[in-house]
Amino acid sequence: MNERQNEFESIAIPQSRSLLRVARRLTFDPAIAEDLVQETLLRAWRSFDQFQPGTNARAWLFRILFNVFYAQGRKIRSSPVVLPLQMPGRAAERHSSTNCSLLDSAMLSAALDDLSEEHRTVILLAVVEGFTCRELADILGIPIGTVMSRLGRARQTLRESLTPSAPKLFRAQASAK
Amino acid sequence: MDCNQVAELTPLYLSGELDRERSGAVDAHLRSCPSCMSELESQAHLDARMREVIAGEHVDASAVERWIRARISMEPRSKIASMSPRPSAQPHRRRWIVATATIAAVLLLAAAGYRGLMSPHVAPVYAAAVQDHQLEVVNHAPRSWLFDRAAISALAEGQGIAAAVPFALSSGPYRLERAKLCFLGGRIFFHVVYTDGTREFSVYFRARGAEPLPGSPHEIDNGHIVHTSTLGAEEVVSLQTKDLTIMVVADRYSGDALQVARFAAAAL
Repeated sequence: MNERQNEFESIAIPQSRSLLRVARRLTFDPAIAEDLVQETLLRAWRSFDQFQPGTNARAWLFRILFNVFYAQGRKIRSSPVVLPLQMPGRAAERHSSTNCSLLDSAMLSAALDDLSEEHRTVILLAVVEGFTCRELADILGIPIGTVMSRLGRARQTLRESLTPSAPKLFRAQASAK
Repeated sequence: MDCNQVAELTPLYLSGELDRERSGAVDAHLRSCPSCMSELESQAHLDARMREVIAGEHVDASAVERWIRARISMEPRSKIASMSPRPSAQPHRRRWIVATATIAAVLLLAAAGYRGLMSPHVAPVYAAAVQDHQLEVVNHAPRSWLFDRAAISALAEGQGIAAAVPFALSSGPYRLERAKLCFLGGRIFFHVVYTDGTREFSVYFRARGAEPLPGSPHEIDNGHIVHTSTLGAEEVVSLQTKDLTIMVVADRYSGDALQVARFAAAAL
């Protein structure tokens, strides 16, 4: 293994689980998700010369992932959907408490899957993967204002689906965006 | 700062991206507004729980990691370009390309009349098909293949390929074994593995776009120009029907790829 391979191994390969986690919730198909991540890593490897050491490798890899996903998105999305935990529209019915600490994993997972692709994307990147709004803007190629309003709406939708009695304080502003 | 402004800044506040001045203003508002405070607390709480649940889910990336390591070792100083992007639909240009290609093929066949007209540069999409076949079929990388007939039909239809197409080749000497989708040169192909009882070979299908097939034409079967390329121990034979782009990858010494392509030219 040469030096560049070692470098790639230490920078990119450790992100494969994060990439796969997001890819699975974008495509809802484990095999297509694996292909999406393979293609992402392959493209990353082929453009590794342009990657500047010390810059944000995670954001760089996720940017590639979304580029590949959007380029192929329509076909990827039209593939068979397998959602073992998803119960569309049922999340709220199954839970009436506003105490989030009681939310069980299956319900949270189902509520996330119920979100629109745009909302699911920002929740996955900001909340689960811990990217900042600026990083999201960079990864998705959209203005930071759009990231903020999308994130606000996504969080509100998520809370409403999990807790029907959630305060609607922020909804008016969020939906006005 | 009022409740609306706080709501607007909440994403930046929660991700710690607000400058000290605005962060201080939000803090001051929260101290005097129990409603916003409670709202923010539940959002932060839900975020934490979501992160805990989703990030805690088991994700096994070992197959992906094995695959990428194998690919990297195949192209250590790689600069292989992906297949060029699909041109926008240009019927006149396409007819011109097809006509030119047909004339070229006829001239070449007349002049050469032999098999294995091999370009020194194998087109990237063929190289990708060979690598994919070697990793996933010859070396049996652990992947999620579909074996069920109905699921395979649905997968094909999702790619704009008629449900009957994969099974049209599963007759006579060949039997369909399994299928899945794959990326070759940045594009999705429907990958089907067939067997003749002793050897496995791969057929990659894609709904046909406007792009011509790369590589040198080898022969014309049932009106379809057939291209052949060889790379290492594998041979790629490709053709386009009215609706499909098809690449067959098989052991080059078996001659299977060309036979299968001829079979496909007659059957599809």
